[in-house]
Amino acid sequence: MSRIGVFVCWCGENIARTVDVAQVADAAAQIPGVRSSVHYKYVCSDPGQALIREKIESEKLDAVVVASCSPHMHLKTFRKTAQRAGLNPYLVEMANIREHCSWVHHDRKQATAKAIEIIRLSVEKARNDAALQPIRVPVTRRALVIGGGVAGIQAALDIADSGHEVVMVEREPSIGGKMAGLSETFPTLDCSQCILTPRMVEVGQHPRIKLYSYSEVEKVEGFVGNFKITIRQRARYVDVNKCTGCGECWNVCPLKRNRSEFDFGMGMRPAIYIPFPQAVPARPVIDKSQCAKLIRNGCGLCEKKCKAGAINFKDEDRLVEESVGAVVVATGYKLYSIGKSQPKATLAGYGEYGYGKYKDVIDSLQFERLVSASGPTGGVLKRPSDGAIPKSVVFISCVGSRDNAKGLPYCSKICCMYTAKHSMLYKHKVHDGQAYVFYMDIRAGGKGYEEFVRRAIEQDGAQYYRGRVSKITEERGKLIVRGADTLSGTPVTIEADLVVLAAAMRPADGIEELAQKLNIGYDEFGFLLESHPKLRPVETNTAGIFIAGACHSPKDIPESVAQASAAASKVQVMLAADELTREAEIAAINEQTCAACFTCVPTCPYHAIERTEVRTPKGAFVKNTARVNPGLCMGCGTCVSVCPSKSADLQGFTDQQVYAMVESLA
Amino acid sequence: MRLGYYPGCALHGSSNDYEQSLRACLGKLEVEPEEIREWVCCGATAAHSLNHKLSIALPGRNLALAEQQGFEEMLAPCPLCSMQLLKASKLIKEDDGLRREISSIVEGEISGRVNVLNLIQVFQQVGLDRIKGAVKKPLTDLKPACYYGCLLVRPPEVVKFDDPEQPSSMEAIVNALGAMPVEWNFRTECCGAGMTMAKEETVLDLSHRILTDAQQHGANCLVTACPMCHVNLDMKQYDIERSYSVVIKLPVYYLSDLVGLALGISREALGIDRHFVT
Amino acid sequence: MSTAAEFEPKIVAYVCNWCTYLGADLAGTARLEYPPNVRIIRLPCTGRIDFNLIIKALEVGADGVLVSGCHPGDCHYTSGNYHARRRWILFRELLNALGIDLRRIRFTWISAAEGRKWQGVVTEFTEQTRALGPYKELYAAGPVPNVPAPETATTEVRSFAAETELRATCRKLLAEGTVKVVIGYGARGPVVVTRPEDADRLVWNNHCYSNLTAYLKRKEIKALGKAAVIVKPCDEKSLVVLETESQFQRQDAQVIGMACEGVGQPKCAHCTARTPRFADVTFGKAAGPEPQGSPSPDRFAALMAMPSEERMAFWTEEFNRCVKCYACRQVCPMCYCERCIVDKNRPLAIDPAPSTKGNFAWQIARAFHLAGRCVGCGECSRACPAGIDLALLNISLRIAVQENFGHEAGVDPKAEPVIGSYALQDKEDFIG
Repeated sequence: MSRIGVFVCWCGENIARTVDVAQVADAAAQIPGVRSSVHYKYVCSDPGQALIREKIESEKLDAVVVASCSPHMHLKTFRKTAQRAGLNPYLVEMANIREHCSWVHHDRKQATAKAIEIIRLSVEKARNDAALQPIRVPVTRRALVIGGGVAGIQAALDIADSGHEVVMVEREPSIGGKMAGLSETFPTLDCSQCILTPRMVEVGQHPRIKLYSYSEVEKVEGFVGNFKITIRQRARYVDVNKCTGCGECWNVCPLKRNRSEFDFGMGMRPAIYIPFPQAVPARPVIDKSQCAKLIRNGCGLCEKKCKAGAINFKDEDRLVEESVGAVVVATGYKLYSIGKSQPKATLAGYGEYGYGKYKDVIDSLQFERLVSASGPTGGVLKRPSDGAIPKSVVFISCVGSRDNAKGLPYCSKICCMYTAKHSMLYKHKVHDGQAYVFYMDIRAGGKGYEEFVRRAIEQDGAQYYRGRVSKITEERGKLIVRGADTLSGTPVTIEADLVVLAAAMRPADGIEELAQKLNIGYDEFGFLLESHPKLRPVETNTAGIFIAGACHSPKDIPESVAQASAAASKVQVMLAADELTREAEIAAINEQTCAACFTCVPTCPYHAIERTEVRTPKGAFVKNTARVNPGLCMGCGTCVSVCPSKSADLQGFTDQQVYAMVESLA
Repeated sequence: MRLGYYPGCALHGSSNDYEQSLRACLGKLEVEPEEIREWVCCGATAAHSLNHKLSIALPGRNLALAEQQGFEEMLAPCPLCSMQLLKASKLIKEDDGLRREISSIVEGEISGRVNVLNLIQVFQQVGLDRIKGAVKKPLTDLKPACYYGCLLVRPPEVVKFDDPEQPSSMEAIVNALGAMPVEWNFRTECCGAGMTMAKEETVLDLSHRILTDAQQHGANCLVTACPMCHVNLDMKQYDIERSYSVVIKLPVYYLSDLVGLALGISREALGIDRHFVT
Repeated sequence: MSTAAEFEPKIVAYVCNWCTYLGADLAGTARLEYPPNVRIIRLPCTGRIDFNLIIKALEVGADGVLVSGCHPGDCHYTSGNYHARRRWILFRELLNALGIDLRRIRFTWISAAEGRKWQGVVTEFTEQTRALGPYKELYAAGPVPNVPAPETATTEVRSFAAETELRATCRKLLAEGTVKVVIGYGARGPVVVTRPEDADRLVWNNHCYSNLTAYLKRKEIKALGKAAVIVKPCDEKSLVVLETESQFQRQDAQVIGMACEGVGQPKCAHCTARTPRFADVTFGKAAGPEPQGSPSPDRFAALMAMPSEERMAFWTEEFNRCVKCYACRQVCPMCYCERCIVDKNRPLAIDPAPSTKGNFAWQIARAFHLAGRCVGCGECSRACPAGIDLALLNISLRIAVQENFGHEAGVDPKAEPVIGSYALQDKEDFIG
């Protein structure tokens, strides 16, 4: 580029106070290749941008350097300005003489000299700029949603309602996630299943949602707009098309005493079962580790009883492929395991609470099942050991959360609210009962949340103690809970019939393997990483993959739903056209000179480089070469540095540009 | 391997019955602990409340002596001592600057390689199967409440022994002897420790609760591996009975007492007759 | 920029766009002042910083070079900085072996939130560089220290017993058409035999020092068809590296291994393998039991024991003899790029002139490109008409990859290449 225009900005006083902008503009005019060099008070303003456009036209500029603030501030602005004047937007560079010069030096002479050098560097870069064209990638206008909890359901419905097909993959036999098992939700005390099941049915019946239940994502290939997903549909041993959901099979199954996963062990289920009556799909599965027929060829009663002939003991796992353009990960959470066995060495469990030792020490999800109207006790709160109605219940907050010594350092956000809710539900069911809550702080920041907690204390008489519980022991059928009331400075001992522990929220099992398959990041706790914590909370650093719900961080239902809709809207933007445009500053490999050593291939963080061949138009083999997939490359340039023959180069930061910049400093 | 032996003030002083017991018992199992020559006080509770460096130097001197005298392992039957020794050893191993400083203060090089063991760990090293095989008189009529006290299992990062909330190592040994340990609630609760002198009511209160809980859970004796706990639960039992107007009469055995009895050693040889509650 | 009164150091900073550049922006927003000596070159990622840029900055007169990016684990592109870190570990060893003042190059991790750290690092580095003074001569001549001379090669030619067997086998391979060409040793150097009757031109004696695997990359040889190549155990390691880099398909060649009694080269005094491991057929007998480990040759140890100025003087003297004939490149099996980095002229990354600067630039690139790939065959030193001991420079990186990554080139076909991979625990004690 040999007709470069330089625009030195005063930025009001921000630059001009320290840097002699007139002198700088004059010095810039002397740099070879600079056709025009002016200074102006606010280049980013309307008249400032008009000045740029005017100069582009009148001086027939073929590149522009704006010497002002950081490119992170206004590079996009000035690129649009250039584009409006008919100049390719990639022929615009910025020289940062504000954040890196006028704001950090006070000596006018030194700052001015430095500003001139900074501009010289940018001019060298601009001189070697190329008019890049944005990359167009074709898009498969379908989406994949991994996880069928409330977040996954919301995202799927939003995307499907906007006219695109959605493939949903859910690991459990039914969608609904943890919310399907809750009794009532805060702060409205809505019946959880009542508000969720209509949504679940909508998903099950939606013409554009393809639901794979009892299935998992096995493999992920491809890139944004063009993912190829392999799904493993696990064998149900029940043909869902023939099955009518009549229930004869699970009624007749003799093996009724298996720990129900949906009830978190508070109830039992048969070996052939439906997790809960409102399941979607409302079709049973057979647990192959428990079924007598599958293990030793005995029983078989369900098959005999089934009038639809839907039982199929010869069923097998099936691998299915689906092509999608975008993925939303909504895999939800599980609770911290409070007992001795822990997945990581840094977690130690809370032996002092006797969880696992005393039957009547349970966690919050187990309590939800005990008070749920459709739960194993029909909504009557019977304690696990002897079925008695507890007259005094102790709720302990922060079990595993906010604990640097042997738990997780973060706050699980929802426990203060659901503990208050639990104390209220308890009181509504056991009028002469007394609820005690041991807390550290009360976090009730949502709409109506603070008022909700006050209701629990003031109207429903929950006794709140600010303090931790040191030990729980058992005596004569009662749980002796010893804690502290730090506000009055006394120890507190309560004889409880039931203890409920608010265990920390953690991401669901298997999240790390899934994240690696998708090539997205996760933190030390397993929570999936967003692209930017403030401004891009539902995107990941992998193009085309979005996250929503508790797999990202602990959150409650309204936030999960909001995040799911946010992710859906990002997907809708992506699927709006048949093509995606991506930034043009990506790598390219000179296939003539590539030595096909493929050192670059494993280096690329995005697996964007493939091993391929160069062939003549007639198909004869010429040579092997590496090739960058423009749909995947994110423009980091790592391949450029490892290439021994210098065949790989990065548009926008080419070797020519960078070397020219360095040499200009001589 | 030679086993060093660090008795500490207790076992040569007021808890001399514990030393008698463990020497008799270990001797029968062919374990001969060799007393470390010229050992000094471990610092126990007094040192760390006065001066941090002193609280490391005192046990440090003993570690240096053990190394000089060629021991790879040493038994410290009193958990106050063993905890101090383990704490000093850990700090010295983690910080080389500290190690050099303490080595210079105590005039002996400490590398931290000496393993400090409590009595339960020594029995574990002998092997539960071997002990079981050597049992001559199974303790079938004993229903002990196994009492760990504070310092055998805490702090967990220092002692790294058993589970700090739900330990089971003593029960495993007691089971091997043919006795039936009871399930009870106060296994790791404090007995009052050194408050015996400074504030007696505390000890009476805390030890009373321990003994009462053991009683309520059907125990007919207690077994402990700490001389301080033994003093509070045994020597003070009469005072507890009087203060609270209760009858307890629970004999408190050392773990080595029970092992010794099961191996066929007499009560006199084990020094059980020297206890207050018999 | 610098006056006689006060020297103003010139600092070039290569920073990544997402972390350090934003950190510097933050320092600006917070008005944290620092000396005005630094010139930032913004790159998308530290992964983009190729080793040559660091040398280039010093070449054009920078007194100090600052390289900074995202903290490990935080890279905007997930792993660019891990790759960069690995290269830096090795590049520093190479520069140290050359005698370049490592205090002139500073590596740091500065995140977008660490404006204050940017201020601190720039201030400290500027002042430190000021105290060191201008880096007047990057490649400074000086009194050349005494480095023990390399072992001398023998001149008397002595045939080995296996020669007859070798000729017979090659004759058979060619006659049966199993291979179309045999790359072997002739009386006056390597020969390429295509006819069975010419098999008698093949020799096996104590002068068979060439690494014949270098010929596998030649187009003319590839065009002839399936090849048989004769390798000594030291040369055989090249095949492993070439296969890892997709330049050689083991099943497409016949590898004829020769157990070696020594070919009288300096490298034979430090032999590490006497018996081939991967050959299809092996002849000859080894000169003794398989040696254990690879000792660092005395010449290198002596070199590294010197102060860095003397090391630099040594290399300047050596490289001043270089005439850029590129024989070292031709003879090295690992140099197979058809368009070599020195042949590229937009940009002119390596000065092609046989000047001090140009020679150093070439030798640095050559040595660094061999990181984790050089098998120590010593051919470069042997082939150099100016008698420069090029293999001596390669040793620095061979030791560096062994010590830092436990890697030895050409030994394990399944080992990950050193450049192009990284480990989370790669050392970073030199990174601030």
